[in-house]
Amino acid sequence: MPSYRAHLFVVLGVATNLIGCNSGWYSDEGLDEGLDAAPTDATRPDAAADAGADAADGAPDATDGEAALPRLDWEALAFCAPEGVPAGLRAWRGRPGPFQVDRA
Amino acid sequence: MNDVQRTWFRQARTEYTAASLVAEMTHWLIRLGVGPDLLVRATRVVSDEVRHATICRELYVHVGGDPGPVALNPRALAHADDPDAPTHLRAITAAGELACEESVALTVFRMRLENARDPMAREVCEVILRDEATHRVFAWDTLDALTALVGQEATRAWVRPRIAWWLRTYLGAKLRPVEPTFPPEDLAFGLIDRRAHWAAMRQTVEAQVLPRFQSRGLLEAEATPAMLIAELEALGGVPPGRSPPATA
Repeated sequence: MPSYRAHLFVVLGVATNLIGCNSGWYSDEGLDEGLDAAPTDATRPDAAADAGADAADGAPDATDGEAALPRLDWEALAFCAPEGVPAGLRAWRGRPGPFQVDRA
Repeated sequence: MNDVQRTWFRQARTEYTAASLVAEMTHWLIRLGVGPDLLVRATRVVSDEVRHATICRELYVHVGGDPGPVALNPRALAHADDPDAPTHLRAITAAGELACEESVALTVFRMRLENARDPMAREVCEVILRDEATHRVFAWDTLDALTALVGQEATRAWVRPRIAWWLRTYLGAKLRPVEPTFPPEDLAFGLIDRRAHWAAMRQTVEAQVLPRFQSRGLLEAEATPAMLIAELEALGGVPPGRSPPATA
């Protein structure tokens, strides 16, 4: 199924980048200064768990040369969903915002 | 409006303005086709700034501020520098300015948190401090990504004459001989004495911001704050690349 494989490669490619935003692959200049108490990775499954889940879901194995690519981490995207909005901001749903820009 | 109210009112406006400016930059980054990782992080920064604006306004109301809407000037909500430049150069300006601002903000909020004793003020400072660390990394990573896109020489040619302007708030500040000090009950809401505040911002520029431009080859190694202050004074309040207004 060539089209299926093409889609899979695209998804895996995006996943590589998206998971990266939560996993400390980036330059870390001074990151520790404000992040000592930050629970950024607390909920993210570790690499071993990811690998196990991949195998269980029938994702490509090592013989396909794709095993190193992580799956899309939906947890990292949760803030996009309504329930991912912090509770204090959810209270504003359906109400006018607290900032007023002059339209004149 | 007292000093505590004024501090958090201004901070609420600053955070909302940051949300708008990063959102505009995010649009430019999308148009430039930078990696999806950077785009997702950019949208996260926008979300964070909206949240910061809201909690700062809540703190302003908590200390007796007007609970009505916070008025904003629409002109402050869009990037003003280099309006006629191509998108990639405007994005570099936006990233460079953001890198400067977020680097200094991290220092300022660390100081706010050290002073804050009021529980709500502490919570606000903790949230913002934690987020500012990721924002600073994002800003410098964005500058790096744009440098890779545009090329080192072209980026340096654009960035170098603008660094002093981007740091004008910190380099150009002139303190009065006697600055007012805040009583302990005001400091407990995260205020910082003005002298310490300006000194810390200037020190952050010298110890953290300039070295990062230098390590990227965007600023010569021998550059000093004094040199940039002289450049700033030579600009006469007019951004680089823009002619001074004609006089009649």
